[in-house]
Amino acid sequence: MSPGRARGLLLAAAVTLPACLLPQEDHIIQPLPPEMNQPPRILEDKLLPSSRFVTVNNGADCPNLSFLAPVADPDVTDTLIYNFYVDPNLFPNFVKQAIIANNGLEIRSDPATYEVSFATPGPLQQPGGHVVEVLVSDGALVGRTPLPRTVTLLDGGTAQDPTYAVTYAWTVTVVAGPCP
Amino acid sequence: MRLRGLWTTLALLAGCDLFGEPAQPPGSCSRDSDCPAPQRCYVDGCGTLPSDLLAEVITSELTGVTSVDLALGSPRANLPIVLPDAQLLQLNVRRGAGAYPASVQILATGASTLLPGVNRTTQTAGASVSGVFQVGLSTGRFTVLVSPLDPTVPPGIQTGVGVDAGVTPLTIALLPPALVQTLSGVVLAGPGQPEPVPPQVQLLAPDGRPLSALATADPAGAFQLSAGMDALDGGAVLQVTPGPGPLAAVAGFPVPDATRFAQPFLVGDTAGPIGVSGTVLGPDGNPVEGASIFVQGTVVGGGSGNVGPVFTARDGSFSIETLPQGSNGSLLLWIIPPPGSIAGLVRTALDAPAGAPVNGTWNCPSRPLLRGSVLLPDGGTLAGAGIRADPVATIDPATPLPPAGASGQTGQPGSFALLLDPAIYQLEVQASVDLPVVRSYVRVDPAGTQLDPIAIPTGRSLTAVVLRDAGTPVPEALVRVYRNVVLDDGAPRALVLGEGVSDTTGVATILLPQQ
Repeated sequence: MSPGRARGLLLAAAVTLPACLLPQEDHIIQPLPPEMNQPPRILEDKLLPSSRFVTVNNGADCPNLSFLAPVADPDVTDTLIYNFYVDPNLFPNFVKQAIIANNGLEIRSDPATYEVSFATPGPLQQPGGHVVEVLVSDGALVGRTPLPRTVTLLDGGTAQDPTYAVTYAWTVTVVAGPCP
Repeated sequence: MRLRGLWTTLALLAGCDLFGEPAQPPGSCSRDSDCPAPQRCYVDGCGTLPSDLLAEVITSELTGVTSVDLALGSPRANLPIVLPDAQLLQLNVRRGAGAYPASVQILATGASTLLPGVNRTTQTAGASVSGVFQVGLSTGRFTVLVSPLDPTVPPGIQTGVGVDAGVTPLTIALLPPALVQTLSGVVLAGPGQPEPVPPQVQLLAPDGRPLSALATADPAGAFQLSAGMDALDGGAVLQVTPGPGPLAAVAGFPVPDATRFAQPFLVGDTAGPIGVSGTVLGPDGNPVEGASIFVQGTVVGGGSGNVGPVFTARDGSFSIETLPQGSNGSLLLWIIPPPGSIAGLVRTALDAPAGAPVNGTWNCPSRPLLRGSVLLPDGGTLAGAGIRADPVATIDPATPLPPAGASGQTGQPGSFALLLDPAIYQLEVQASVDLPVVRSYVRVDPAGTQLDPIAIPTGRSLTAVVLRDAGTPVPEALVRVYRNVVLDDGAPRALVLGEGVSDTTGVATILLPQQ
């Protein structure tokens, strides 16, 4: 084989086989320090009921009242936890707690949901004004307070990474009476 | 020498196997024809999704957050979901010959016609010189109520308003002054005795439709209501709701005709409240902490009382005040232990006549267990799968619907056990991010329920492109995919199979269980 033909073959191989792995320079990329946690958010333009003010009748035959709050978190691997409260100033315990699993995307598929049945006793059966609040956190909650996470730094030390809780509240006016 | 090096290099490069087409993994595809019938090609391979899928697409516009329901037909990759350019109710509020320009509150309540059990509420307020309001309203069947801020103008209501995708026109005519009568009356706790806090009054039709605005009586109990001239023709009900503060009853007084207003409406709740206190014990005899206590029913005077919640302390004790019972057995005591408690819900008659406090000990039954196990698609077991149960319906008319369900995880052998009061529940099993969430309706009997193993099917991702009429992609649309099922009692109910949010190009990816 002539040197010219060999060069041609090598050139052809270089053009047609670019995807083949070839040894690279042994330059170790240093790991980045862990990123700080970012807060979740409630997508306020997607809430149901969309109005902050809601009026309902409380008859046992009235349809269930559904609350739905889509949520997002830029930390796509975070698992979110949400609590619903009714009149939290009077009753500090949540009426529902659930988890929203990560789906690999900032905007989560599963919204926070809470359904109120007027066929069952509950704070929302009482005529008058009420507050229904949803709290979404990307950390473990003690009461309403998210706990910081302990993260390991590059030098082996540890640090506290804050977690966050965000809330939204509806004002619900309950009127005594059946539903037409 | 150089030639040998060249051949060696070529041989090594040939080892990279870049000269041939890479073989596709089994089940992968790029088009439907790559899959064996009746499977179709989805982004994660060949598969079969149910052909009776329904979708609820929730979007946000200036006029409000709305849902459009539609049947997806035969699901396929890149399924177009076309939404109307505008999803709203074009509401024209008129009075007499002209528009009604003053402030009104608009309340639309209804339900999806395609998705049984999906209820919807929209509320807005404002004033429009033209009387025309654009209200974002989801598809379904609604009752639309227009309540003028002016209490002398009776509300207007339209039931059975069908809202389809797009713009739905609706005109609601408020009664003109010539067709409105003023009804004056007095509401009292007892003869000559006004309520300590002036109550609210409203005239309702027997079916609950409001015939007047909600008005507050004055301190002496006097009130005025404006209603249509024919409002009392079919009979009506004067609903009296106590003001905030002292215990009082909600009362409904039949109003056969206008002469009834000449007599005072006596709520009859003058008797002082009585205290109900006691201890709540679980099936093991230990106190139940954190149980919610309510007292509901007919109280003295014939009105309905509703007090609570109060919560039991660590020693199971509680104290609550109620108006005395109207008659024997007319009051019910509700004890709702917290989620996770072994104690079950109690609804029992409370003997609470006037004159003496009530003290007692109440024993809760064992809360039934819902037991089951979760199997992976390969038949293996899975620990740590998330399990959640939410109550949706009663098992029979005599058994109350519990207000809350419970959640937990599968243990090492893939099994789970949740403490749940008897009811029909929506059970949700979330095994992992890569597997579809499996939801089903399950019945929890008073003696407990053992489920057959729940096999998690493999999933397929349905990609849907959400577009407006004009072809514009819709980002951040929440697409919920349902399938209608039938509960034990024969009632249809929509069951969520999966959810996804569209990206900036309008594409939503929803992981669904295969059929």
